[in-house]
Amino acid sequence: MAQTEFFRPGNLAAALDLLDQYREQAVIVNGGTDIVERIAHGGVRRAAIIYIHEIPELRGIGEGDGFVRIGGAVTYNDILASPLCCQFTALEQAVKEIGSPSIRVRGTPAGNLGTAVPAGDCCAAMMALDAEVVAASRQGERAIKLADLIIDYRRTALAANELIREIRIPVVPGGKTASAFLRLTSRKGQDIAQASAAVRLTLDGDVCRHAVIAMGSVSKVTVRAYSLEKAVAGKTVADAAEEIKAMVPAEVALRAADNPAFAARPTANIERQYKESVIGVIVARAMMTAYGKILAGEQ
Amino acid sequence: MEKLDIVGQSKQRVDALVKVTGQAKYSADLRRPDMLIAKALFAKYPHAIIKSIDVSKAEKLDGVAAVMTAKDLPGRNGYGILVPDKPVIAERKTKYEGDPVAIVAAVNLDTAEKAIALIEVVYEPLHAYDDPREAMKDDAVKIHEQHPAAEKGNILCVLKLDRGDVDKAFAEADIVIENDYETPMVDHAYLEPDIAIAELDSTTGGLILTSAGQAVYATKRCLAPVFGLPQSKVRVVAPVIGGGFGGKEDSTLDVCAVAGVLALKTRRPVYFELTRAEVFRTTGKRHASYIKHRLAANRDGKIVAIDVQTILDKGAYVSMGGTKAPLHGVTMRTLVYAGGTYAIPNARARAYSVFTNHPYSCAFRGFGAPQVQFAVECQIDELAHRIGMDPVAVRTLNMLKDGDMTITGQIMKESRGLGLGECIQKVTQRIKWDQPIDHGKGPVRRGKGFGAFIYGTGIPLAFEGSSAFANLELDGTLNVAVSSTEMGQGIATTVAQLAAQTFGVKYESVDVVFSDTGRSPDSGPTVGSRSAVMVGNAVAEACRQLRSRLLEVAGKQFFQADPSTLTIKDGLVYVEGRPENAEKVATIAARAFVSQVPLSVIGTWFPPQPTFNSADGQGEPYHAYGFGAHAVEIEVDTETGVINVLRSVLACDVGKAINPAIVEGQMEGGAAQAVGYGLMEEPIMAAGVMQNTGFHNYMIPTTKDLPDLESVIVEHSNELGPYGAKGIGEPPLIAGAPAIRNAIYDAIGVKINIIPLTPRRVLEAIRQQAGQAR
Repeated sequence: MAQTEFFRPGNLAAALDLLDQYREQAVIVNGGTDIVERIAHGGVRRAAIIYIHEIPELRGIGEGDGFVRIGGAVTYNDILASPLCCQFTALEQAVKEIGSPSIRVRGTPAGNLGTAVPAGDCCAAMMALDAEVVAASRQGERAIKLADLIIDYRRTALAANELIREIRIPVVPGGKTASAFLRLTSRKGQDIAQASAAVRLTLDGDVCRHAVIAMGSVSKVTVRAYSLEKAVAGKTVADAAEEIKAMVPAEVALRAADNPAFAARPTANIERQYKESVIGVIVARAMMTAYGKILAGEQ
Repeated sequence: MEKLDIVGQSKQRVDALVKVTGQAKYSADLRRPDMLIAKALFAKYPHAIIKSIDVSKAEKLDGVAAVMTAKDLPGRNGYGILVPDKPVIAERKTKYEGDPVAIVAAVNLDTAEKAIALIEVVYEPLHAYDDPREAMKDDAVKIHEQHPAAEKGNILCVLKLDRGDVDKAFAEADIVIENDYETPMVDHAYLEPDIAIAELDSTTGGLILTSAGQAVYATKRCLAPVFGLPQSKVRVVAPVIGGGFGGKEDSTLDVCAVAGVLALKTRRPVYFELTRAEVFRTTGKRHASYIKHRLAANRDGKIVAIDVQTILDKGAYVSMGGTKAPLHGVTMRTLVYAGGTYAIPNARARAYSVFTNHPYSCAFRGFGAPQVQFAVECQIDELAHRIGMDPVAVRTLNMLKDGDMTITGQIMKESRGLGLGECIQKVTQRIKWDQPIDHGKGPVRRGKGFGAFIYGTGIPLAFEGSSAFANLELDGTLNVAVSSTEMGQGIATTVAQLAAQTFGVKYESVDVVFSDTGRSPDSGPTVGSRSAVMVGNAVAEACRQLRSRLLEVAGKQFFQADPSTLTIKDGLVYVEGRPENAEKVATIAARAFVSQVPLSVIGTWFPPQPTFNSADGQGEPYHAYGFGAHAVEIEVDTETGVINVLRSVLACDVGKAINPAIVEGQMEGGAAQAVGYGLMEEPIMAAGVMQNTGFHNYMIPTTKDLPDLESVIVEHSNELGPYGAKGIGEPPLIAGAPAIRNAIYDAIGVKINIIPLTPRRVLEAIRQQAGQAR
């Protein structure tokens, strides 16, 4: 095949011009911790590599209009160092376990969302936090809710000429609301989630008024656990947690034939059984952690 | 007694600086632009008849220098350390997915890969065997239609050990404990993939092979017939190696064979490197084992008999599995260690080595001992629980002591070092074994577990022994040459310390040449926890010869004194007690040089002849044994099955730590590998095809999975070892996995006899037990 061209645009406009020119023939490299491996091993071959990681407009974290705004090239380590981001416990907990120190210095939440794999820890955290992304192209910008962004395994609603300029997380007043993220891995370092859960919990006294629950690695995409959200509403947190521990939420879709993460694996059945038997526990524990956060804040 | 000021010190490793600064040259660093790049087309089906191969399109591709199939080979199409049963290129049949079907050399990697893709092969797939218990059945398809060593069908060999009256002992015993155990195939997961560079030797007309291998002489001997060359025309060099763990005793043959025949064919240098996925799919693994272990004991805790059947997954080729003759291999070790480190008067053990369509099972740290001793250490724990005795007390009661006999009939001698008692005492003290542990109340429970081990130093074969070369330079420095390889374990440093101490120069005055058949005599392979002792003794012997020659000259020509009154220390020669009147070693060496005194010597050392009878398992396979005790504290998450190792305390009796930092390195490495072996490492095989062929899905522990690994060195001197040393390379791995398993039982009362103890397996066992209790 023809040679691959490598571009390192110096600003956002230049990047969007290139994207507009190459469209499907381009691959965006941000932190590169996932895509570079796929490019190197031949899984992804495009005419142009557009490297956006050093674009200044994409590197900031700010606040405005009721959102914390995280630039598209902000790294995991930037998140961990940010006083603005530390209010989102689920995000912090998701980010601090991703990959390894060398991954976290390069990898980006925007890249994690754009990759759209079911094990993406930021995907689950951002979904529970009700985040949205701002997609930019030469034609302009649009906001996409996270639930609408991820449409299939490794597929997003982004057009070929769009990139994630920023991620926005709505700021929710503290006191009665807190979030948490928990994942189960085969080992403690450099691994992806076997099952993960992010929960944003809002209390009414001791009772769970509202919970947003997102789950990772239990379907071909990150999913909201609406069934659990409904099940826990109006119950005390302790009761709710005990109840969901043993549940396999309806949104767990490991047996779906079109799940490419499982399709070809001879061990898929064993993996499914294990995931199904622990996902309730993971969600319950994440919920209890969020609950603990609220209680700690009240003291 | 001689005061030791070099041996016993944690001297900075001779290779430390070049390695931490990235300057050390590994095999891949020696690649040059003039080299052709080799690639292999590996079998598409792990078990298949090859109907036809068409290489014509590949041959026509621009930049391809050679395409070879089995019919193009220059010599014997078969090699192996013990039995030459592995083809360089599969001819009629594929037996595992690592069999090359065709090989290519091209001007660059891209062209080589394209050429490989152009080769057309028609196969007739056969049923692929994953389980030796299935493959050993009478009606199984024979994987090797004709095998030079196989006994029957797919059964390569059955080895036996018989001692005492086992049936009577079982009939009379108070307690019989019978369990089935399974241990997995494991990849060595060395950091450096397999690489070979083959070049024509313009002087001899032979070949020079440069490869990350653990046994340069064995490589030469195994592969000379493949190349159709006399052994004298094959030179094998191993640069520094990025980890071997036993695997590179064999895998180096695979890559050297391919690179070598392509170099002979093209008359050009050839570079061949396996990708990581190819390393996983094609190179050797630890023998998976299926063990039926019966143990008989009296109510007082004394073990009276064992009856053990071990079925080993041999994979496709003999490799280091061993046969009845030649014997040396993993299979016989499963007999030797079937009773662990305990004195057991009656023993029966049977070991079946069975071909499957898996990667060939080869040497891997512990060589059969981690398999059977996993079973033994679980059995003895269960014995303790059954009779209400402390698990450590049962071990102490039964452990081999001075004068006791092993199940192979060998008498244990304190003079060769029997430090298990001290290891047990040190470990239990440190982990506070006698204090009850708080098991916890919530879903996460805690427990403590214990394991002990025995492991022989060296290779239990008639040829065991070493040669080393020492050359005194005229400036007083010393060159030592050994054929051992430096794969991170530190042998070059150990050898330098032994040489400096024995001869009497500063540590910094010794330089060590290693692993080059053109530059060093045969020190034997770097395997079997043998090098510090076997090679160390040969080096010490060479240095003693040099020392006495030098003292002879010094006595006669300088001091007019009896040489026995002289000493050499720090490069100075003087009358004992009078260092103020010293002469430099260099001065005396220069005089010796002009006095026809030879300053180049070969030192050799052979242990007492190892013996072992494959018909009854009796003999004295090793001159000395290392011992150890390993205790862990763990956490079990009963809702997810996740095990967290909180503490690991390992004590090893090493005879003498030549370099304590290096010994601790071996111990920490072994303890870490034990966590992987016990908790997570497992190739997933489906009809002979490995499913997890990358480090993202083949799990090995990271530092985050390990607690602070505590190591305690115990030294019960081996009268035949250099300065008392015994082997320490492999032993630290052995007892970790059973200790973890026993700790899970302590924490939650659930008995799991299959490793690795993955969260899935643990959770399943917990739920099964809860289900039965209901």
